[in-house]
Amino acid sequence: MRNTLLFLLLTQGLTLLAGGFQVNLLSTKQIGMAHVGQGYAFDASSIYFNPGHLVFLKERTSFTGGINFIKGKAYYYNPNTEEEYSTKDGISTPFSFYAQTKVNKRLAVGLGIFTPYGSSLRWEDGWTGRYLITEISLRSFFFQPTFSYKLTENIGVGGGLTFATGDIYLEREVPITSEDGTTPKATLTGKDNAFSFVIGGYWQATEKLNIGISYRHGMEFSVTDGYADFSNIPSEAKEFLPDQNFKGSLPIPNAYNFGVAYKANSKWLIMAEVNYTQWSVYKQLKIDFEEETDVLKDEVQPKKYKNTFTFRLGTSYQLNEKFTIRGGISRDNTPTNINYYSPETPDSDRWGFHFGTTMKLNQSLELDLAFMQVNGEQINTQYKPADFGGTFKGGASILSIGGNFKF
Amino acid sequence: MTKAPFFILLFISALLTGCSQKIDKEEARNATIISTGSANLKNTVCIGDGFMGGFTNHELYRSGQRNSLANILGEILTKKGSNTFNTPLMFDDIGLGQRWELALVEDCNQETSLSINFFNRDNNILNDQNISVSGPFNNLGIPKLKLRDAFTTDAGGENPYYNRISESGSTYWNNIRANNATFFVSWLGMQDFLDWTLKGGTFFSGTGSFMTSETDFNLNYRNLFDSLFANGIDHGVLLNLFDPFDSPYFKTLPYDTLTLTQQQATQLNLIYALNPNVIFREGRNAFVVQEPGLARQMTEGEFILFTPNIVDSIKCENYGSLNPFSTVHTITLSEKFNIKSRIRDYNNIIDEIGVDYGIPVLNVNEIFNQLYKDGFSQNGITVNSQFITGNFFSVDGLSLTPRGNAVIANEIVKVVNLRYGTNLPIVNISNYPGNIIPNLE
Repeated sequence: MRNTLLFLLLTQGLTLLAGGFQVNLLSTKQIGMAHVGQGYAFDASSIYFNPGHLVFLKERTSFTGGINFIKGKAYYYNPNTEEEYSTKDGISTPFSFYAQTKVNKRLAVGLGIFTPYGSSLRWEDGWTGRYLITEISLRSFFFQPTFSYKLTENIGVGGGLTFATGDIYLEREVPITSEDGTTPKATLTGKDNAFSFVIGGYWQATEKLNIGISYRHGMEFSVTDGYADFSNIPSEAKEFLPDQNFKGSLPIPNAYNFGVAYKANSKWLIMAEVNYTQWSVYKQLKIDFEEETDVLKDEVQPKKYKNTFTFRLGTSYQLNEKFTIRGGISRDNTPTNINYYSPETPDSDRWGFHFGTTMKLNQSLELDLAFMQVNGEQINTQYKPADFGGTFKGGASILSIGGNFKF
Repeated sequence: MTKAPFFILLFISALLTGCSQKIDKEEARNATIISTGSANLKNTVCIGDGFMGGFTNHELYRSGQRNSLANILGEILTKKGSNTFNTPLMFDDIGLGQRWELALVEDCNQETSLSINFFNRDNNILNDQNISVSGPFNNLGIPKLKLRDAFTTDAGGENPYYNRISESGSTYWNNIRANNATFFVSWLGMQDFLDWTLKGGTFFSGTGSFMTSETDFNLNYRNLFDSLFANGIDHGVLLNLFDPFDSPYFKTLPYDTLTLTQQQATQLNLIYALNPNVIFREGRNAFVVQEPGLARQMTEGEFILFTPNIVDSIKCENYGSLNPFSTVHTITLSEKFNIKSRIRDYNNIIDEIGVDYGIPVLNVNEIFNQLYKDGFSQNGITVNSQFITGNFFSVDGLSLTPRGNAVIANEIVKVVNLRYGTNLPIVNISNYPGNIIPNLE
């Protein structure tokens, strides 16, 4: 069992979620209520959502963790050629873990380990866009030491330094007709580390109303020693496609978050939130090969992402001593540009429907469970530089299981 | 009661996962092309020469026919409820033995390099067998067939590709009519100037290889159209003819690529001392061609016709230098001028016929111009007029690859959809092979 879990943690299968390659599955309780987290401190996951309210947690020390099982699928249809394809089935498992402790009444510190960015999917064999992408796996792990400081009885600020490590695997077919019908392929692999920070503020404006605001700074993963591997290339074309190193970079955008929490009564909590993500930093993906040939040229793939707003509305209700139920709805607008729509992130505006529950097992242990359904809207797109286009639609079902241990 | 929330959650989960995330195709189609009308595409006959029938790599053979322009159209039409599309398939992929391929070839200097070679395999006589009993054929693309031979019973004589598909005594027109077709695609006329062109614009006695006159071209095409219309085959598409001079067939061996050392130049100059038209220098020189009268050096705009063995002749038999090229192997400026103006005349006639008969004309010549200029791209791949790597022209430099056929097929589909209000899909050109790159490991 232990090994199986480890295996799941290490092999992120096929993801398809949220704007661009963002994965908004950072803690089970919040997933159950539209992933709102700016205006309320639930547990140690404040480390991710808003370090400003971490210090407002009642418990002295706590651990929160969760794992998500995502089953996602994207469909492609080309109305001109009537070709249809979809991504292969698979499960991916982003996770999060947070630990916090209070140093004194005014200061709390903590550490978060989480995976806010990632993408991985594999298209069916022979699919229309196979010369653009057949498989992608983009993984990132963030480590974030965090502090939170109570300025006054109802105002808190906090911040964290983020150390991120990411790796990427891209696979596509090479358009060479080989004699024996094998498929020439190119795979690009690379990894990099990057630093960044997050800051947040929290204000208990009234007995009932809390306001939270946070800013997560962007970063850039720069692959300097990526490796391009060409396989199944007919011998007489090999000199044009030598295996080699490449350079490339991928930006992670700045994000501004604002949210409120309203305690209607002692049992009922309503939260709303807006995220503004500066995706426009993702202008292009450059691949700079060490050795260009007549056939193999450096690539500049325009992406022209747009800045996006995400809206979240969530609520929770404490049924009794033991159970709390949650629900929410989220609207996530895609940063992709329909004229530069790349099938490695087949993304569209989407609605998220969220349900969750928390079961209090005893004074120190809570079990969280959430379910989320993401339905992407149908989108008609093209990727101009490659004269590729078609209609995409996708969605995902997510089961999130988490726990919270405090003492 | 205490477990209720879990059950509720489970229930909702089950409901939501049932939601369809599949694409609404109707909506997708409406967002791109609107199509309501229809022409009767139940039974289509494809009329033409090797460009229609799947002649590729200098030969007609089975897999080439399966990926022919006619068959790609047939594939699209059968998807839309057309009857089966019948093709007079050759017995194998060798055909009548004229196929060329890309291979490692040892030249006359024992140097091995990747070049164009004869596809040396034993041909099977079954390729010559008459298969007219399996007709009528929807793919009536007959290599070497000229428009002017459409009403003769022997396709102008000595055409083994015609003889194998037709009952003896039947004209090409008879074979068309036998289909009881409701729709036609016609791409005839290329051979009416190409036959002459590929023989270097040179007269051979008795072969009848002269270009068809404009008068005959007009008469023959109108005859054919009258016959089609009289038999109720009055919907279709007409393709005009392309100027072949920018294809790799004419571009692979530029007129001025005779490379000489100072010593070689001096020797040759000595030999040509009495000919004021010929002067060589060290480096790159124009080849020498023998026209009636004194031999002369070729000029810009003239072409050498490509065959697999001409390179060896140039390298080891001093062909084009000490021994001037025969005019059979070259196109001179005046020949080119005549051929180009003939193509223009033919295309004017085709335009007029299109107007007179109310049949849309696909401007193939313009498509080739675009190909020579920018190429065509779709789904991340580009085809252009580069030899071999362009993947549009096959290894003979003039006939098309399956991928090239797919490009033309898509253009035909667009014309049909536009004129007849149909909603035929185009094809993904990357699903059709380009030139095969050999793997020798």
